[in-house]
This record gives sequence, C-alpha cells and structure tokens, in this order.
Amino acid sequence: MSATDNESPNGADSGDPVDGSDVERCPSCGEATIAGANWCEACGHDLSRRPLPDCAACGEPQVGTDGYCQVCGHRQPVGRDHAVESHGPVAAVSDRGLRRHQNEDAFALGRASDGESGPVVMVVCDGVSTTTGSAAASVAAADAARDHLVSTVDGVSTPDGIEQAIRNAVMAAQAAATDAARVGPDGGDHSDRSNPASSLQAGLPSTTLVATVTLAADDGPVPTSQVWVGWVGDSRAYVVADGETTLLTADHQLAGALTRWLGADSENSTPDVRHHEVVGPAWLLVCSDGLWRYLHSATGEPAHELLDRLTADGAAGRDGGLNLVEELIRFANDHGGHDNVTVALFGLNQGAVTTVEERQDG
Amino acid sequence: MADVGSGFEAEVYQNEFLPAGAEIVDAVVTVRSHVAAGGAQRADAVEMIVIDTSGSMSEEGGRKMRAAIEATQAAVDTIDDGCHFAIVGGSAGAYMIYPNEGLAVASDRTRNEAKRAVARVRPKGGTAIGSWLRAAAYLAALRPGAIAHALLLTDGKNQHETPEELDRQIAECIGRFQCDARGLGVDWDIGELRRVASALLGTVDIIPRPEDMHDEFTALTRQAMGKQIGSVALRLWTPKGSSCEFVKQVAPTLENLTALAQPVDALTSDYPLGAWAGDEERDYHLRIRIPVGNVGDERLAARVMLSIDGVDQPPALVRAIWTDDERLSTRINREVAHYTGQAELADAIAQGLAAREAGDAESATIKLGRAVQLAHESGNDDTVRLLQKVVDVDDAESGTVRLKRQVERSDEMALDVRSTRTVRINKPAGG
Ligand SMILES: [Zn+2]
Ligand SMILES: [Zn+2]
Repeated sequence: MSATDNESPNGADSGDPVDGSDVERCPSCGEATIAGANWCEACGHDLSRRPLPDCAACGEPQVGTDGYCQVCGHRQPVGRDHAVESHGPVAAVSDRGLRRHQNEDAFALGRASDGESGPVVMVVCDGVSTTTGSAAASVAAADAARDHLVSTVDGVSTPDGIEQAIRNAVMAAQAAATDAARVGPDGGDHSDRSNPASSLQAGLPSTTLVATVTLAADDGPVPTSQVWVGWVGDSRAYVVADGETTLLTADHQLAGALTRWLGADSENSTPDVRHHEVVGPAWLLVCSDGLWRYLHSATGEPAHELLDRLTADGAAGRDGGLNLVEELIRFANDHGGHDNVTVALFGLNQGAVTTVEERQDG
Repeated sequence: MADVGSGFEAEVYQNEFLPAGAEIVDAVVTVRSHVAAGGAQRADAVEMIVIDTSGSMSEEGGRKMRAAIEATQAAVDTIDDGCHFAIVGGSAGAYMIYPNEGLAVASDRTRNEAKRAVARVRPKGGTAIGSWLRAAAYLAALRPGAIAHALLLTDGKNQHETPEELDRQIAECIGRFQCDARGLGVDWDIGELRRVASALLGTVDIIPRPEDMHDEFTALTRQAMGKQIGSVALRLWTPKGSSCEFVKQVAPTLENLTALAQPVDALTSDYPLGAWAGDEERDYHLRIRIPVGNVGDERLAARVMLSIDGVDQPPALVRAIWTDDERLSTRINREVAHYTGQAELADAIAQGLAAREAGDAESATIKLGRAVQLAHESGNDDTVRLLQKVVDVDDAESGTVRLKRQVERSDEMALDVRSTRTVRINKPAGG
C-alpha cells in the first residue's frame, strides 16, 4: 500500500492484462494503438470498427463509447459501481447496491509510511443521495482526509497529536466537499453524462465521513493496536472479535435526519474523535449505513450469521480480508441492497486474547 | 460544409427518474445553431415569391392587387445579390411573372426587371394552390442542394382542385423547398394553408389588411436570406422494443413532426428540421415509450443527434433511471411541464373556437377560459391579447371569461392561426 496511491479503485475483473499492460493493440497488425485514434498509425486499419464490448443486460456486442448499449440502451456498470481495493490486511469495497442508480459512497485507504508498521488510514464517506453532486463530494472528501492523514500522522507520537491530525483532516475534507459544489453537480463521477437534465438540484453536495488511524504496538507482550476514529454523520466504525461487535462511533442523527455532515451547506462539520486500545486479534470494520442497517435485527441484536462469517473464517486479523468484505457486501445486497454499501476492513493484531478499551486522553 | 455542423448543439431537459414500472420518458431538447456571420460558406439559395393573381384580388377597387405588387417589389429588393429567384403568378394554374422561364440571379438589373414585370400583373381567374406549388417545386429542382424557400400568398380558398389533389401536390413538394403560406383577408381556408406550411416546414399566418403585406413580405424574405444551413435533421435513436410516441417542435411554434419520420435503420429515424439561420434556437418535445427496467437500472431512452447535410453531430442523451425514491420520480421538469401546457393551450383554443362555431356557447366559454388561464400563467401575452378580441376576460387567473357578441372574423382567424405560437420558459437571467 503506497502512501500516495491516489488512483481511483477500479472494478475487480478488468480481464487479464496482455504483456502486463492494457495497451490496446491493432487487430490487424498487432501494433500498439493511440488511445482514441480512429486509424492504426502502423497499418492504417480502421480502428473505429473494432469489436464493441458485450452488453451486461442483453448480451449484444454493442456497447457504445458513451457507456450505453446501442441496442437495448442499458447503462453498463462502471468502476465505481463496484470499486475494490486490497492491500495485505486492509481491504475495501464500495458497491452501488440494488436500488440506487449510482454509487455516492466512497472510500480511501493509505499508510503513512512505506514501512510495514506505519499508521494505517481508512476513510469511508457516504454522499447524501438527495443532493446532486454528492457522488463527487464523497470522493473529494475521502481523498482529502486520507491525503491529509498519510502526510501528517507518521511520526506523531502523542494521542493529542493524532486527534488533532484527524480534526485537521476533516477540515480538509470539508473544504473538498464544499469545492465539489463549486465544480458543479457533474464535476466528478459523471464525465459520461454531459447532460443538463439535472435541473433537479435539491441541495448542495454533502457527505458523511468516518476516518480511522491505527497504530500497531507490536513490541509489547500481547499485540496491541491503538485506534483513533473521527466521524461526522452516520457512517460507523466497529471492532469485531470473538463474536462480539463493539461500536466505536455514535451517529450524528436525530429522528433519522443527519445533524452533522460535510458540504457547503453544513452547519456543523465538527468531528467527534475517540481513541481505543484493541488488544488481540480483531477486525476493524468501517462502513456506511448501507451495511450497518442490516447488521442489527429489529431487536437490536447483531446478526449472528454475519458475525459467524467474520469470526469463523479463521483467526481474525490475518490477511485475506477482501473475501470477507465481499461477503459483507453480498450480505447487504441479499437483505435488499436499498442503499449504496461500503465496507473497509483491517485485520488487527495476531494473538490470543482480545480486549477493546476506550482511552481517555489528555 | 463540414464545420458548419460544429456550430450546432443540443441540450436535454428532463426528469430522468421514473417510478417503478413506468415506461414513458419525456424530454425537451433545445437545439441551438451559432454560426458566425460570414463564418460559414453560405449555401446556394433559391427564393420564390408565389402570389395569388386570381380575380378576387381585383376586389376593393384593386387595392389588394396593388398592395400585393408593392409588397412583392419590396420583397425583391430584399433578395441578396447572387441568390436565385423567381416570381410566380397563381390563378387556376401557375405562370411565370419573372423571369420568363427558370430562375434569375439577383442583381440590380434583374431586381429592376422583376419589379417592372410584377407591376404589369392583372388579376384574373380562379385559385388552384396545388398547381402553384408544383411550379415552385419545378423551379427549386433547377438548383439541387440549394436552400429553397417559397413565400406563398392567397386571398381565397382552393377552388379548381379537390382536397386530395392539393394533398398529393403537397406530398410531392416535401423536402424540395420550404414554404411560408400567408392568407390575405378572411376568405381563405386556414386548414388548407396549414397543411401546406406544416408539410413544407414553414409557417402560416393571416395578413388582415392589404397594407400589412409590405412589412410581412419584407420580413419573410429577409428571414429566408438569413438561412445559412440547409437540410438539418434531428436523428433519433431509441432502444430496441421502444416506440416514439411523438416528436414535436414546441418553440417557436408547435409543429408535430412525428409523421415526417424517415427511418435510417431499425432503431434510428430522421426528422427534418429544414433550414437554419446562424443563430437560431428551437425546442423539441420527445415522448418515448421504452421497455420497463428494474428499480436501480439506468437505460438510455434516446440519443438525439443533429444530422447536418448528412453528417452526424455528437449526441445528446435522454436517460431513464427507475427509482423507488418518490422525491426523485415525482419531480416535475419545468421545461416539459411548460411545453405540455403550451400544447394544451393550443388545443383549448382550437376546441373553443370549434365549439363557438358549432353554437355551443357553454363549451366555448370553458375552453377559451382555460386558454386564457394557460396563456396568462405561462406569460404568453400575445395569445392573451388575441383571446381578448374573442372573449371578455373577467379574471385571467381563474380563466373566467364571457364570449364577445361581436367578433371580427379576422380576429377569430388570427387567434386560430396563431394558437400554435408558444413562448419559451422564463430562463434565469443571463441564461
Ligand atoms: Zn495496424
Ligand atoms: Zn444491451
């Protein structure tokens, strides 16, 4: 995981790259072609007639360059409909869900130094779907918070210092979400839609945010992690271990309406920040409400089947979290997939005994 | 002509969000041309002035014919140098007034000859509009590829042809030239001229008094001289299994183009939009019925392209997204709602006048009241003024009106023939 990895996560199966690259080649002479060119520079072959991709809906090989099938009109899934990123013990997936036409959730991952032990940063943002442009706002906010944290938390040793870094990162995210409003509703995600049809603007782009910074202290007798979590809105962080989930956050909402969010029209974008010590193997789970609304049954008890999946898959904390993340996404979609769903998972500590304790700093 | 096309753009206005199970997609497409004056090579142009010289033009002591001659002379003065032109006389048949045959090339000399030729016209004979159109089609065909336009004037009804004959002649002319049709006085038939103008992508209007002809002829000829781009088509792709419910021009006037569709392939049709000036803006309302998708699906309902002399421009997209979020699916798109209202306004006027004609005062009052209300609401002030000559308005907001006892025939005809004139939605300042 690179601290400066800024590339947008792309779909899981983009096919096997040929020669380790995805350069398009002329079907006639095999030479590499210039992106977007209509003619092969080498042999003059008419590249505009290259075979079109198959439509995900009707199967016809007729997907146009605008992303819509030229027979049935179906919009083809794009990267952000199911975005995947995985680095060792950290994995994240953001999925459009079943009932929304686009994904307004976003995540950003990073490590503050190149070493294996640098602080790990995870950010999840949930764009508010009633406002156009929130898809752009969530990406901007998640990237801004992640970028700020990876560039500042390394070498910060005091809890207060990390808490302050999180507060500053949220300020950077707030500025980025506000800028997304200026760029316009179609500024980010919708380059394929040059459509002023969004005379539908119901508010300014806005988003929630939850960010975690995790420091491993592997020099003690039991592997221990220090976890800082800061959040604005109703995206959450949990620690899951031994069949128990511990909620680290407390939603900023009142009667179903957000009381804090990021964006140009936000009246309160101040994060709450908390610090926990996690001893022993555990999963740090960061997610949007597209997941957590299904985690709790009507009685408020965690869904046993889900926890079983998380913990029965072997020792928590080992590599391979991506499979679990995908299972969590499926779990949400199997339960209706009413919203976009985003899950980031980090396996903490190897060891025998797990405890989670809130630390009162300062 | 290639870069002429780059001066066109299309914008789509719609609520792309549909409730579950919905299959109708409405969109308004604004098409704008912006070719800098002199920036594009202007196409070859043919201007034809077709004037009624039937016996009825000698009424009012010859005032009508004298005014028509004078208006034609003014129109001739408006024709640009180098433009091909002709003046055709119409009675029970068509004949050349100027030149003796074919087309003249406009210059000081030919314009003067034409003005002298038209001054010698003496009214005589009947009215056979189909034969006049046939003459214009013949002349237009002498300059293939040119932007051909006819200004057609009549003061009477078609007499020496059956309606079927006229329709056949109109059909023969489609795509050969555009025609603005004008009726002088009140003895002509609105339906006849409307059929001519609709099929030939032109306008129809009443010229109530002979002295109004001068300005009208000059304005129409000047407008024709401003057309820089010929043969523009709206190319519409819709997905497999869909059907196009209608394609209507909704501004500046209502024109249903649905029947003019020319299939390009299984999923694509062209709708002819005629010739365009370098800085025109027109609005179109499309309604497409598409196969229903699942909630969360997004489908393209239409690609709208402009085809300029056969060259496609980049498409504007009409989308459909099915959602169970009622906040999204119940939003009313302003443009679609506005033009739906303008179409209802035109219908209310047509139905109100028909009821009035049939002696059904009650229906006429209700329909014309509704028309007043719609025209008032949408800021269509010209139509409000036309309505006020037919009804006394007690309260425009509620559409409370009383039929006038005495209505000038020309006022009634003006309301009828101009009922399809729309106003554009009030755009925000600077837009
Ligand atoms: Zn080649
Ligand atoms: Zn398809």
